[in-house]
Amino acid sequence: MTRSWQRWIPAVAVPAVVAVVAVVGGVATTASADLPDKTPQEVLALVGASDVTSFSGTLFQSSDLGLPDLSSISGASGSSGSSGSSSSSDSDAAGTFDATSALELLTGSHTARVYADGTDKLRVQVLDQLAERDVVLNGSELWVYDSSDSSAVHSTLPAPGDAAPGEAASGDVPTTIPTPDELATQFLAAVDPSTDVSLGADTSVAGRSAYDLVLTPRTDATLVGSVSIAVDAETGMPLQVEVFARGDSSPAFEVGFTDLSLDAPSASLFDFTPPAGTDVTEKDLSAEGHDATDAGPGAPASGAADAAEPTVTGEGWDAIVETTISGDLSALTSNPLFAQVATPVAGGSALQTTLVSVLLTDDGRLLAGAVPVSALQAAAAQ
Amino acid sequence: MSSESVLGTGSNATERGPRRALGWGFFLSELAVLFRRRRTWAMLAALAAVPILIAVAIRLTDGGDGRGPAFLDRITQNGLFVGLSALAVAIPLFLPLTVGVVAGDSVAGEASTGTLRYLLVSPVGRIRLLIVKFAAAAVFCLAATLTVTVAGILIGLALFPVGPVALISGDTVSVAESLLRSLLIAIYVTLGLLGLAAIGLFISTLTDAPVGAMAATVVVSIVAQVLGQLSQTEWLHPWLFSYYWLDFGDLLRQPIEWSSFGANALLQLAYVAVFGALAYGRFATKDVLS
Amino acid sequence: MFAQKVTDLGERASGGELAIETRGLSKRFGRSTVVDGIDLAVPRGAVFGFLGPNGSGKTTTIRMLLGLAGASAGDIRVLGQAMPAKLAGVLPAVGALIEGPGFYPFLSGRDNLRRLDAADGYASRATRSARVDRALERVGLSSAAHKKVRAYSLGMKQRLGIANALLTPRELIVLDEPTNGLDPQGTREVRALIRSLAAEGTTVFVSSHLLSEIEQMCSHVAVMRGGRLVAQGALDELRGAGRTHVRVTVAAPDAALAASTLARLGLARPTAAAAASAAAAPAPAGGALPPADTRTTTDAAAVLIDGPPAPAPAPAPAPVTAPAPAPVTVTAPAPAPVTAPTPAPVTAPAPAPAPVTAPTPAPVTAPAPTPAPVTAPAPTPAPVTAPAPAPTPAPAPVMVEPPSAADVATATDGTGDRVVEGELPEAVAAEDVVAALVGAGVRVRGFAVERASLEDLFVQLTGEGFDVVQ
Repeated sequence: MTRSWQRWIPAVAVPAVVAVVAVVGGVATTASADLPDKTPQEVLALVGASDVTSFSGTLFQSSDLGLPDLSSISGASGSSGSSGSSSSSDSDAAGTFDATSALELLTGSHTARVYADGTDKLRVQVLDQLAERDVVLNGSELWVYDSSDSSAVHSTLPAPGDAAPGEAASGDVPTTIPTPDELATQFLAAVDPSTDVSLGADTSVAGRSAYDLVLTPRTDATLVGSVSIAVDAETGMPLQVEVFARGDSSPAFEVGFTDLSLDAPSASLFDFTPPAGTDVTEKDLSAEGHDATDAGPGAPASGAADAAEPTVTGEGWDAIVETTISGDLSALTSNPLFAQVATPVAGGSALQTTLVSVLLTDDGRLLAGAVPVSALQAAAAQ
Repeated sequence: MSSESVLGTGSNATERGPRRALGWGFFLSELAVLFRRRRTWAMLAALAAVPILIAVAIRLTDGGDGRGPAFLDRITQNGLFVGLSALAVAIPLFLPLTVGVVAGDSVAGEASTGTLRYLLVSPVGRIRLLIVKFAAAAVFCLAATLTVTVAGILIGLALFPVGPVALISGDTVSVAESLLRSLLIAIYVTLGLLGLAAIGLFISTLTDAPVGAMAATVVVSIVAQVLGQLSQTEWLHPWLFSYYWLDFGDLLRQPIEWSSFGANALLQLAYVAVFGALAYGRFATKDVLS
Repeated sequence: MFAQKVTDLGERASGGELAIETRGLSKRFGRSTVVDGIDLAVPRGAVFGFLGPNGSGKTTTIRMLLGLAGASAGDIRVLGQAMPAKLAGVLPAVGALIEGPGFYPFLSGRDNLRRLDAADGYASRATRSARVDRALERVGLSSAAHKKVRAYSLGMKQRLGIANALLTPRELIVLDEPTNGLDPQGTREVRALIRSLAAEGTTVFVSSHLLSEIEQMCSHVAVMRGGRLVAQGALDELRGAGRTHVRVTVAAPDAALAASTLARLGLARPTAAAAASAAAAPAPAGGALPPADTRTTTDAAAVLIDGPPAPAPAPAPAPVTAPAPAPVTVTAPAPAPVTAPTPAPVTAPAPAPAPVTAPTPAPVTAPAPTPAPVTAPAPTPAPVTAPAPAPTPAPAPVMVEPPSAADVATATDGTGDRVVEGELPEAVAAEDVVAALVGAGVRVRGFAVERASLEDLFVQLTGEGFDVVQ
């Protein structure tokens, strides 16, 4: 009959409504807020004055560096509990967070929950499917727990509460995901005459109004186009960091809160006791604790855990880090991960991403920087 | 002319009450038909066999070998993990299989037995029939998930020690809370299957051959999971109904991560709405010729 | 004309005269037209036979009537309501058996009925058990109620399907091929059931490809052929529309006189045949009636005036419930023509079959040849039997062969006698013909009347391949 087409109205309307809700929902979360005008310097000062020490939130981190998806490989090596990379001296449980984890960070996306209460209580949970990696700091007690192999590392920090809140604690803690706070601190520390600081349009992150602090390198030699830091208008807390490659409109690397509460989390969260049957390793962090940290926030430092003392040439955005690989080079090059991400170039093998390049020369030198491979090759030739 | 005059008066008055708006009677009848079929019980028995086989195998070999979900290994330490491990094993194939059978059979099965025309002439109302069929499929989803969970817990109690349960966050909760979380997970998995049930219902309205509808529904679930594994279709992943299936682990964190529960519910709701509308479009004026 | 008809139908529908009414109802599947513009008119209280060969569109029509299939064109009113629109209000008052039974094989007969009753949102749950048991009892399935339907025979399933139609008091019951798969006993029971339903005032719409079914049960009938409605009306009217063939054997010299006499009486389109063949024809037909009890009319019967009267079987008006294996051939003195489309008294046995032979050559004067058009498609009276003008090439309903100019045919046989034949108009009694012939001085050697049966009529209406008996 003539009305038969009417029965399809819902079938057309419902997907339309679903699509609209999905789109509008996405727009709503990024809807820009109207905040009082501030100068970039005022926002920088706001960040400096930030004193948020208690919060709980969910972090989302994603990388689009143009690397193949390694999550399956790294996941496999992660669950076997052993490092994929090398003859590392880090054969202890901290090896879970070694170069493989760093590579994992460079691809795909991760979600983590962060709970902080005061200066000496922090818990970071990296959420994997049916698994979780936990870092729990409670006063001087530090636990690192990996549910995938039921292993835990227990340490006692030498001087609890000594470091600055949040950043110091998390800086000492080997996690695979940097908080926006950490990352922003690093980038803001690099603010110097080589960087142009400006403010973008007001934005909204995790439902909070934020200023958008944009750091733009003044040099063309770097791969980094700009860094965008969302600063909470109320507290000055960095909520999101986005790193854009040159000429790219979508971030190559981003980490930010998708959910944030400034209430103090439940104290029981920091009261960690590994479950029965956990393989617990005692470790003294006072001596070599910082060793593992390098693999964390420093994205360019892939494989740095295996390297000797690095030297830095250049300054600012186009600086190049050079180091010499100690030990057996073939152990690294025979790694399937290496074969997958590296391409042979003149004088060695190169890893090219949209943000950073890594060059492993045939004579065992490792060069890295936020510059094109050709710049690394030139540096290596010197 | 109002419907009352059609119904007539006199002797009819005692036979026909006012129409029950909710139609629970038919829903109960639908459940009775579903759960009085041997096939339904065979499927539930097969699902119950999953945890039992896992538990017995682990008991005989004295421990897991590291494959499968990590907490499979913990079964030997705590029998309460049997249900969860069995769910993780059953989610990719066994549960979609049984849900596909029930949902794919929902309308096409009635058509093939010839009962569809009698239901419609009763009259059951086509929209009401679709709603009741979907509701019954949803009840089956819950029954299937609970079957795996409960059978797992029971066999775990029988074969392994039971004690406070270690969550994947490393925290330990009491047995009572772990049972509550198991129930929550069963609900989560049930929710996750609703989208597939809606797809099956829609496919079921396309054909009079129930076997074809069942097979198509199962194939859809497999295709969705394969797509979910391919990095080439990564943009599609969050839109696949199977996207959150294995995220029930979020309910085993401390504190519970509710975001996947909510996202799962929203996604499945969208699937139910879209495929419910499609099923309505197809079935509302379909010529029932079987 | 058509518009007038539409309003006419509409007014009557609101009065509730018609249980089912369709206008221009059509159904197309792709390019093939399965139902082509049919105009059904089923009076309330009627037992309406829906007759047609397999594949003539009966079941598709029923599906459209019940809202299972959408009509490609046309309107449907059931119990006075527009059908696809008011479906939820109409269907509770309609019981149906559609194209065979359909049940869950893994449930018992009783549980199947309970399920279907639960599907009816109006059916009271409190009285469900009682109503289910009563329906089962009514179709004789009480003893098998607990058995799984899987174990039922086709006949039992058929009964269960009928029981489903009886779950609640209905105003209209639609039965599609209700006697399929039933043994003769079951067939008789179903027939009796339908009559009892009709006695309660329920309109019964029965489809069948078996004429005998329809003929025994129905007060009204519609005939489908190739998706078109080729005839519709009260059964008695249709029966009356059948031709009555008169064959007179006369001395050769009187043939012309006989022919003109018959023509004067209005005997139409007579044909001539050799007396020998004519005399031979009745013997097998009258002497060897098919034993099937479903036959109610003889194909032909002849009585020679000079010869002994044919043995008349005892008239056995089959009681409703009693099996009636005897041939229900009724001999009556006169072929009393039907004068009004009286809806059959539903409690009574089927209307008396058409009288066959009139062996009484009463020497009365011939009445005036006034062929009262009782069976003509009355243009104004009884609109029930006059469907709206259908674009069908079929002859006007009811009256199959309109009378044409008298043209009595004669033939010579080998003995010197001549045979004069003609079609007897409805208003003319056979004895009148004889009286007229005698009165005209014709030397009548033999006189036979062959009553065309409904079978002949329906075979003619529906074409080849029409199943007459089960």
